[in-house]
Amino acid sequence: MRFEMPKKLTAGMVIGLLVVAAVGLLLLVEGAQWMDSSLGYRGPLEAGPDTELETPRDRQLAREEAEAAEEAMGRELVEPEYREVPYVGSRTAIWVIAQLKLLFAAFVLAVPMFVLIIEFMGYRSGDKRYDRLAYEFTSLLSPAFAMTAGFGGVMTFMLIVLYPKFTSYLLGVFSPTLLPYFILLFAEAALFYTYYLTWGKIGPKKHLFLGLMLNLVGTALMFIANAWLTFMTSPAGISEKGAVISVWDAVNNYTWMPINIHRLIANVAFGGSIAAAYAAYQFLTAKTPAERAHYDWMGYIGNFVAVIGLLPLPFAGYWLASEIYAFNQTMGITMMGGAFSWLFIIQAILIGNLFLGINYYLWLGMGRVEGKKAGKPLIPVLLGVITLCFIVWATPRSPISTPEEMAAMGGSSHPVLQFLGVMSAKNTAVNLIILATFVSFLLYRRTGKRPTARWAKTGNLAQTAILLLGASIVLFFGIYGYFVEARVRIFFSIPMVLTVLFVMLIVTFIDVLLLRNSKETGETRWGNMPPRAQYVLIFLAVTFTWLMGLMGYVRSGLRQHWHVYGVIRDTSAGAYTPTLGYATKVVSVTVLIFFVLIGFIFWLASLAHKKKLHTKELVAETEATYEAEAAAAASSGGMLPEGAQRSRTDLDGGHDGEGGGR
Amino acid sequence: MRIPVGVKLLALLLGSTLFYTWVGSLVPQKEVRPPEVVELAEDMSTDDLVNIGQEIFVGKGLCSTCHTIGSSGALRFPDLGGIANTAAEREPGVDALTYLAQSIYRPNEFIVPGFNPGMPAIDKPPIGLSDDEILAVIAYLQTLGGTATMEVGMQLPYAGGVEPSEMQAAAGGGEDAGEPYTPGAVDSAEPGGGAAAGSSPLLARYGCNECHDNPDAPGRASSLAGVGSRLGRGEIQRWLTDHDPPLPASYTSEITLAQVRDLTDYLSALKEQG
Repeated sequence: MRFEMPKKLTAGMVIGLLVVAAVGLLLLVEGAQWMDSSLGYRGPLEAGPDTELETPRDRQLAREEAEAAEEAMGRELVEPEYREVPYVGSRTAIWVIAQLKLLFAAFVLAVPMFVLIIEFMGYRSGDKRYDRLAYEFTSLLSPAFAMTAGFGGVMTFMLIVLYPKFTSYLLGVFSPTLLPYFILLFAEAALFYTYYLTWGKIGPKKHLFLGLMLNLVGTALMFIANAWLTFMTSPAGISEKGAVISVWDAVNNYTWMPINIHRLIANVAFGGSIAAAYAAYQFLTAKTPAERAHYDWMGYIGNFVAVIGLLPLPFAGYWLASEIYAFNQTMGITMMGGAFSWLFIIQAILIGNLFLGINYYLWLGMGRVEGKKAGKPLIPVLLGVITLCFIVWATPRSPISTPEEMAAMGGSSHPVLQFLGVMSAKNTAVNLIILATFVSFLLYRRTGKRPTARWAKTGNLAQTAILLLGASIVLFFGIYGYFVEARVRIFFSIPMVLTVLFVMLIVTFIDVLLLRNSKETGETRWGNMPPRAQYVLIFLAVTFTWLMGLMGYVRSGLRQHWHVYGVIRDTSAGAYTPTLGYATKVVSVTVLIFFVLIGFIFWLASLAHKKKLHTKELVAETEATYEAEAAAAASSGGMLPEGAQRSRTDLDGGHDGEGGGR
Repeated sequence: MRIPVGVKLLALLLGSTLFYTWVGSLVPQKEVRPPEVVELAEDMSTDDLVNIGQEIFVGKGLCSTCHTIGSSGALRFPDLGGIANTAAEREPGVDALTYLAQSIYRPNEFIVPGFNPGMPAIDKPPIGLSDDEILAVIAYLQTLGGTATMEVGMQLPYAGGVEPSEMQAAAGGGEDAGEPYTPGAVDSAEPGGGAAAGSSPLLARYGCNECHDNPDAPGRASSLAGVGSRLGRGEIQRWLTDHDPPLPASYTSEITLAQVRDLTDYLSALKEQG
């Protein structure tokens, strides 16, 4: 009989085979185990499976294990005061995370401010470029919100884990503020998405109102968070032992309102600066002259807003410093004359760079305007004034010197330079820099324009006289400060500041009237800027961010070895105040991380916007016209005619065409 | 070769941050550690106190942050050159030691003409010097134009909240009236003068035992047995000068500084047995 393989395997056959294989495998394993236990070789010292083998060492180990388990079960709950992050330490870890959170938070508060200003300008002027610019920036907010929330979450967990007792104390003091904070947080998110998604879909006034509400809620959020951090620096509303007496007093402490105002203004400047950097990045990677024109204009607007924010910042800084002195003289003197005095030399270099960069950009900007550039001969003078003031501002009272040099100087202060290292000289320098920057802006504004008013000559003379008089008043108080007592001198900064503010207001007022019906001697050629101008904008954004990091450090570092100054002492391993060298390294690392992340957000945004720009057929048609006109203009020494440019930007005005209503 | 924009931007970012990091490395590098409490050993000499005081003056006390020594001109805070002499003349009727102690414990009670108030109480946080540390600082200040007289264990006016007037009242306005309340002014002719040993006749003289260690006393006070273990020297001295409930006039009007010191010595030596 021959066994024949079935030609086809049925399902039943397969199942049967699997069952047989499984049963066979089980039998095989069981058989092997039985053979091993009953027939396997046993060494002379090896006992049978039922005999428990225990050496004294095993017994000891078992005892220890049982004791450890018993001890663990009976352990008391002890909440550690601190926990450490390996390698970098808790303080540095939370410093970096908190600073990154703060930078992104500043970004998400600053951009809506910038956007609202731009949107309003667009609404008033009817120029749709503003609207497109505002929309483009709002689109950056979504990923930025995610970053802020992410870093905020990490920071909160780190505080709870690394500083549990202090965090618990702070939350206890400010517990009544937590509910409003969370409600506002949700309101902020809701308002942002409504604002963003209703762009062009509701009436402009309604949309502007949404933008205003978004800003108000964002500002309220910042004010609440500021209460927590300023309380740590200048506590109020609590007893000497830290018990809460008045939550409102704890909120409304010495430095709360100055920090609120300082951050509000700084956010405007930061928003403008980041916007300008974004525009510069887009300009540098632009493929067409039209793109370059758009992003050049965007960079100019961003920088303009940044300058508007930057000019009053030193005055807000004075107020903050005076409140710190009012709260505690020791803290004030530690800040300006003690452990942190050299930090303000670094700050002077940063702000000096900011002013030099801003002025340089304005001077380069004159190149994009055709016609006579009346202000150009003044540029070397302004450069000289700014450089001189920069040098004075960055002059330390006591230079770093060897013992021999100190012996030769007769002390730690330089016999001559010490006079430049005091507040009188520095106040004078900063006020003159602000005035010089204001003049640069006026010159830029006037390029390509000729006043036609009958009183133009008188107006020009009046402006010059007011500017010179203002500078003289500043110089007078600066010099007079050397001859009066400290208690008198300290108040000289007030007339100096008021003089500069008054001069800027009155000269601007005259300028607006003068140029009301001015004759244009040349058109503004947006896009006609050298690439180095764009790198300046990016440098300004980096410097501004770095400055924020440095100032964040001093604000926090002023507490030295206190969580809450004079009340809750920091007893952790990181309670010391690090060297300025270490601090600047941490700031640099933070700034680098921030720019890598913000660069990623820019790149995401550019994917969306450039695609939009390139797919519109209408834009393509205009592009052809634009190129032809640009070629014609180039042959005659100019660039794109204003009219052609305007028509183009109107046509690719983004969402306006889609939603209407504008 | 054309360098990509991304590379240029990265170079700008790195270059800028490296430049500022470099600037940060150029300035003086000082790491400020939290100050540690200075404890005075009983066998420390006045010179030791002066040295410790000088260290606190420039370090933990932050005094040199505001005060200069030997400078003139438009100063923010008074110069301390020759303060040992000027301290005795600043406030009428206030001796040098009381003035120095007042300037440290109650800095805003008297402001030197031409200056603004602004000095914080140094015995309170954030500076928070201990009484011993302030003693050492005063010893150092005494050397600025004078000679240090401070000793370990001396009671300073204002230390522990004791007002100079209370100290004078405690001194009874006798031969010690007007002098700072210091144990340096020992009158060995007084009963009980000298080191505390055995029992003190002062306890009987001022009737302390009528309340302390008297089971029949109404509302009797705590036992003095072992009081030296329960209270520090400063606390005992404070009790002797600022007693709660107030002591009878026979005590407050008659006891001298030297007697307070002797009683402090005696009571401090009453340690718990075993």
